[in-house]
This record gives sequence, C-alpha cells and structure tokens, in this order.
Amino acid sequence: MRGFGALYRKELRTDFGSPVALAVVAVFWALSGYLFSFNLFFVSTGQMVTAFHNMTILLILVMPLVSMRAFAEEARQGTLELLLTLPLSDATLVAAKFAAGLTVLALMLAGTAAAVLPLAWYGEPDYGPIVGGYVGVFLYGALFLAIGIAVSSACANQIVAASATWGILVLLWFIDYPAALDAFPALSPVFQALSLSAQHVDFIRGVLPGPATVTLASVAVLALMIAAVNLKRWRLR
Amino acid sequence: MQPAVVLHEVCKSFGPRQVLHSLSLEIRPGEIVGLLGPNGSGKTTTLRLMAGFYTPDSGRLLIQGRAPALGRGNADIGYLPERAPLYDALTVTQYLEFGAGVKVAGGAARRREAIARAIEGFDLQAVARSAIGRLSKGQRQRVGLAQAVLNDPPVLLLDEATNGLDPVQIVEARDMIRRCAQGRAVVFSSHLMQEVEALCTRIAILRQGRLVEDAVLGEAPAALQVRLALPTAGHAALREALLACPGVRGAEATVIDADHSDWRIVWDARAVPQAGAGACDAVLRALLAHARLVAVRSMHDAVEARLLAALAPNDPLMRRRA
Repeated sequence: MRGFGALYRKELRTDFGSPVALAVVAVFWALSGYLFSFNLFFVSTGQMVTAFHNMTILLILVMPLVSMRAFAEEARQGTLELLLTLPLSDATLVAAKFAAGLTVLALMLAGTAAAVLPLAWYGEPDYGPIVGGYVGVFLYGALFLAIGIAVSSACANQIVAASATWGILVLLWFIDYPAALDAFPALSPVFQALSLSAQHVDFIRGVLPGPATVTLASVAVLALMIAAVNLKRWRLR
Repeated sequence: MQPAVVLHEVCKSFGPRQVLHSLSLEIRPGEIVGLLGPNGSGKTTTLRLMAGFYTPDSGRLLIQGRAPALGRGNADIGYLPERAPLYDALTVTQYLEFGAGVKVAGGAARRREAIARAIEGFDLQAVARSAIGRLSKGQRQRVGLAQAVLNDPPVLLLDEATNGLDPVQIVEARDMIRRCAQGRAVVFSSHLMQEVEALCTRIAILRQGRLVEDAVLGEAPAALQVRLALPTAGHAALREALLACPGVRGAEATVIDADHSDWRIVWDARAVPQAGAGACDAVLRALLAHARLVAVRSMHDAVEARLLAALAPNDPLMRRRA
C-alpha cells in the first residue's frame, strides 16, 4: 500500500486544519460529559454502560460529520481528480481515509475516558467491562464511519453525504422496532439481523459476542469495498 | 525516438454523447503540444484520459509505451488540472510532503531532496510554511506545478494552467512551464492564443471531439504585422492585392493618421504550393508595390489564424475574422 502513510497524514492534517473535525470532537466531548454528569448527579447512576449507550447514540449523530468529507469534499473542491490521477490504488485511498477517521474516533473516545476518574475515585470499578465497552463503542463507531465513507464516495456534496448517512444509520438502528416486526412477521429475522441496536447491549457491557462482532466487521469491510467500487466508477465514467 | 504518449483511434462517450471520435495523436519527449479548440471540443477529456482519470471506450492509449493500469494513477504523469485544485488547509510544505510521499520512490532522504528542489525551483521559499488557502493565484499555480513535477515525470499535462493569472504571473508561469518542459512531453491546453504561441512547439486543434489540425509551429510564418506609409485612399487596392496572394485569408488595417496605418495580414501557409516562405514573398511584393514599409511589427505563426481556419474553413464569417 504505497502512499498510505502520506495520504493518512494528509487526511489528518486537512481534517484538523479545518474547524469541522475540531468542532465534532469538541461537541462529542461536551455532550458525553454532560450526559455522564447528568446521570451521575441527577439520576445517581454511575454506570459506564449508560455512558456507552449515550456515546453510541452520539456517534450516530457525529460520525456522518467525520465521514462526509472523505470523498464528497474532494469531489466538490476538484481535488478528487488530482487524487485519482496520483499513483495510488483505490484500496489505499479508502484505507487511508478510513484509518484517518478511526484516529478521529479514537480521539473522541479517549477524551471521554475522563469519566472513569470519578468512578475510580469514589468506587472500585471493574476495568474489564469498561475496556470491553470502549472496544464495543469503537467498533460501532468504525462501522458508522465505514458506512459514511461508502456514502461519501457516491456523493459530490458533503451535506447530502451526511444526510444520507444519518438516514441509513437511523434506519439500521430502528429497523427491528417492535411495530415493524409485528407488521411483517415473516421479515422479522431479516430486520433483527440487520439491526444495529439488537446486539448493542452486549457490546456496551463489554461482552463482544463473537458472531455479532464478525457481522459488524463484515458490514464495515463491505461498506469500504463499496467505496472502492465507487471510486472505480469515477474512473470508468 | 519513442513517443511518450500515444493515442490511437481513441473514442470516449458520456452516456449518449460522444465526446471524442477516433482521436489519434503521438507526443514525443521535448515537444510542447498546445491542445486547442472551443469549449466542449474534448480538450479536458483528452487530458483526463491521458492522466488516467477517465478510461477510453475504445482505441489504444499508451504512456511511455505501456497501457495505464486501471484503478490507479500513473507515476509517469505529472498533471495539473484546471483551476489548480489544492488543499487549502495544508501548508505548501505539507502539500509537497503529501505529493512526495505518494510519488517519489526511494526513501525519506529522496523525498526530502525532491521537496527542497521543488521549493527552490519554483521560488516557494517565502511561502513554504503558509497555508495554501492564503496564497495568490500565481503562487497556487506554482505549488500545483511543483507537485506535478516532484518525481520528475516524463509526461506533463497542464489544463488551462495560465487562466486567471495577471500578466506578470502569466510571464512567470510561462517561464516555469518552459523549464518544466525540458526533456519532457508536455500537453498544454489553453484558450490563450498568445500563450500557446509563446510556449508550444506544436498545436493540436480539436473540433467536436475530432482532431482537425496537427501542426508544428515555427516551420513557416503565417502572419505579418506591418506599419505602412499609404494614404487611406490606397487601402482598397492594397487589400485587393493582398487577398489575391496565394493562401491569404485576411488583411485588416488600423488607421494611424491620414498617411499611415498598421496592417495585419494572415495567410494559410498550407494552401501555398511553395510552402510558407512563398506566401510571405508574395505578400511582401504586394505590400511594396502599393506602399512604403515603415516598420515590421511581427512575423509569426498566428495560432489564432490557424485555429479559426481549422475550426471553420468554409465559414465566411471566420474567414473575415481571420
């Protein structure tokens, strides 16, 4: 993957050279902190499970803002033409954009680790499930990012890319809504298999169920492959 | 010498609209080819095909003797697209680091060396740490060119590279393109005739996706600008004599005063049996027979005349303009 490192660095520099990534990270930290503090002081709940659930919901809102720029912004400002004529493979392009997005995600989650400090100060938390929960939230965030990159590779406008990604993520979150299962009982297994929320509780408890983890990873890889195919479509126009 | 770029019977369509029709063109190292034609004639599509941004529907495209691999760009190509798209949030050095990381093989030392050479060669020292978004158009163009030649590619493609620049920036860009062109095959698309005339060794004119003219510049003069001592009353006779010369397509006079005028005479050197010099002889004889020659302003290839003749050879309006 020649050029991966150079493209990865370029992505981080352009992400953090614009206010968008900084604003997204700051908003995520602020809202995560607020929700954790609210539960701690007003609901008297100091569980990280609740915090991980809130973080996953927040990631549905903010990850499309991280992924929307990936290719849609390149297309809008004309740099996609330059990028696709550089000696880089489509797989390298997608992988470097994904890796840069994962770095932003890791930074977002790392900032929320401050929430563990009061728990450690006032109690004796079990760190295993906390680490497992962070891994689970990270996996969900990575999936949201991969879906967003696939959508961005098909759009020439980042607002359209973000809106479409929100639509897909919210749909996949609520697809196993009980009313839908009652209305179409024959499709229930399909809805439950597609649902992002069905296995979510296990992930945020730090269990990381094997089959569901493989499913999440497979969907993320599929989304990234769709992004690479979309880039090939640009060249084959 | 093996051509650096070969297009053979290349066709390209977008949906039902065919943009290139069996385009064939060979470009050798050392040539600077001016790609000309009106908007929509297929210039940018041709450059994008060469750069690997598009894929031909049919025909053969070879860069340095090899068919470009589908699914990735080509390290043999340096490409500066129209409007020099760059990353405004990066500094000049960061942008060149990105370009070098992707294009320059041989380790970090080679990449640093290529970046330092580009910064010095394109006079970017003063803005090396500035964000690209803060640069002037001319500086952005220099950064784009520096990136395009970072890895010393044998083929350089420039799409409207001097558009939007002020006269000083155009002269600077022209010098840089000339320096970049040494030993390379360069394709330079532009609407600015004087730029093409100043830079290019050859022109390829496209009309509706077809190559209608492919000519080496500098083989024969095709236009003459002179100042004559000739009363206005004699203009009609001189114009008639000039238009009777072989290949002459136009003769325009700009009156200076009652006895002096500037004349611009354009001829199609290909239409003259004795080649371009013969046309020039006939024009000079006609001039001297009717007027006193005060000054020769310029004698040149008149790319504009060639373009107009190639685009509408039978169009009387175009002939009058030429």
